[in-house]
Amino acid sequence: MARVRTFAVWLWLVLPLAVLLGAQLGEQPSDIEVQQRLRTSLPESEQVLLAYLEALRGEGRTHPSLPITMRHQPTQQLL
Amino acid sequence: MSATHEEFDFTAGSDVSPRPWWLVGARWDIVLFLGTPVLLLLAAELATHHGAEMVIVVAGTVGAVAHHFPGFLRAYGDKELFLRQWPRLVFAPLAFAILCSTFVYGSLDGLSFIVLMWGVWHASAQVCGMGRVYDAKAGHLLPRTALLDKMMCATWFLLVLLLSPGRLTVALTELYKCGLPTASPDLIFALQLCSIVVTSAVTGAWILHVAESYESQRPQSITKVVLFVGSIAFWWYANIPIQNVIIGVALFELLHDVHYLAFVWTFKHSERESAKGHTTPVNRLFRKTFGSVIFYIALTVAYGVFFRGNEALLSGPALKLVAVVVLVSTLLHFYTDSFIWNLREKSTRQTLDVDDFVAVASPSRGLS
Repeated sequence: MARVRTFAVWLWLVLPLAVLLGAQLGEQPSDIEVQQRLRTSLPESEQVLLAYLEALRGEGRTHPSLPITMRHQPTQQLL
Repeated sequence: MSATHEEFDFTAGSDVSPRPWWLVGARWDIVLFLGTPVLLLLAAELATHHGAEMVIVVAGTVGAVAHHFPGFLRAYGDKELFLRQWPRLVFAPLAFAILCSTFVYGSLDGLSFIVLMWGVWHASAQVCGMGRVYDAKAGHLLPRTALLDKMMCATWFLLVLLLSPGRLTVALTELYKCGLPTASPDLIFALQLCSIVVTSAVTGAWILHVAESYESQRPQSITKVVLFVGSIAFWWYANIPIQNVIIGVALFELLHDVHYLAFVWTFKHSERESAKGHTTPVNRLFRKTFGSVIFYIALTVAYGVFFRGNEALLSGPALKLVAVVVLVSTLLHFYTDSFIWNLREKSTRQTLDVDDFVAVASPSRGLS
């Protein structure tokens, strides 16, 4: 019983690690892509929006959906 | 912290006299275990009003590593335990060192997600395990109670994780960095809804079972109920109303650390008392004197300050090395806690003064 349990504990650790490592075999997403995915998953989160805008600003871009007049304002003012 | 799943043999004795409710004593249990959420809540509110949130963050960050030290004292400082568990205690750190080095030096993502999830499980298991000790002291050891306790803690901790925007963002970020597919808002909403339904059902069953036990000869420990309610409410407070995920994590970490340090000291002190004239160098640390307690806390804090300080000061390869050591320390703490406090062990029961029951079956649980 104890051996089965020990095996289960290690499997519990190893399986997710294998999935996470396997997912990294493909092309790695950039910071912007990660933020975009977060925006998709949590569209109502202000924190996510803020991080997304910061990431865009970090790359010298602005949010395409924002009015032109707002695109170059500091992020804090946009929120 | 491990939970017991041993059955109470009701035929073993007719003694149904009231059992001790406390681990240390009424006053210290209230300060160190039951009332800690209220004290920390007051401290957090005070810190927020005075703009001193950084104190909480620093204390929580140091404490997150520091509290591993007392657990290692138990794991590696107890000859009997080491002889019983040496394969785990020797090979687990090696396995974790290889794993963490691979991730850190290979600049791979994903380990943070594992640490986050295991950390939440570990926090829930600690609350459950301490509750089980309270129940064991009260002589209530039904397997159904143990199962419901574990489900109660696990479902609430998971629910808060899913409802906390900050925690959810961190978890999803780690998954997306690995390249996993995007979760749709509908999927996240479904998971949250499912978690609410399951948690509600488990909570209902748990409350009914607690109420039922008060009609039996061996009711559940009221101290356990208070511990569960306080700890789960504090987990909620640290993650839902507090929007800043760093402050929230640090706050709950402080509760976790106070509980753990107090539990380890109580355990090791009892062990020292029960082994009169046979004290080891480690056990000398757990004398009931002001100086010893301060020295124990200072050693623990020094462990955390050493690693966190180096993390802040170093850079380049040295920083990577410290990162590996901190990760190994964290994973080893999660792992060793799953068996070093197991009530299935006779010596653990004797030390905690809960050895007056007969173990019928022992399907050990208590993963951290």
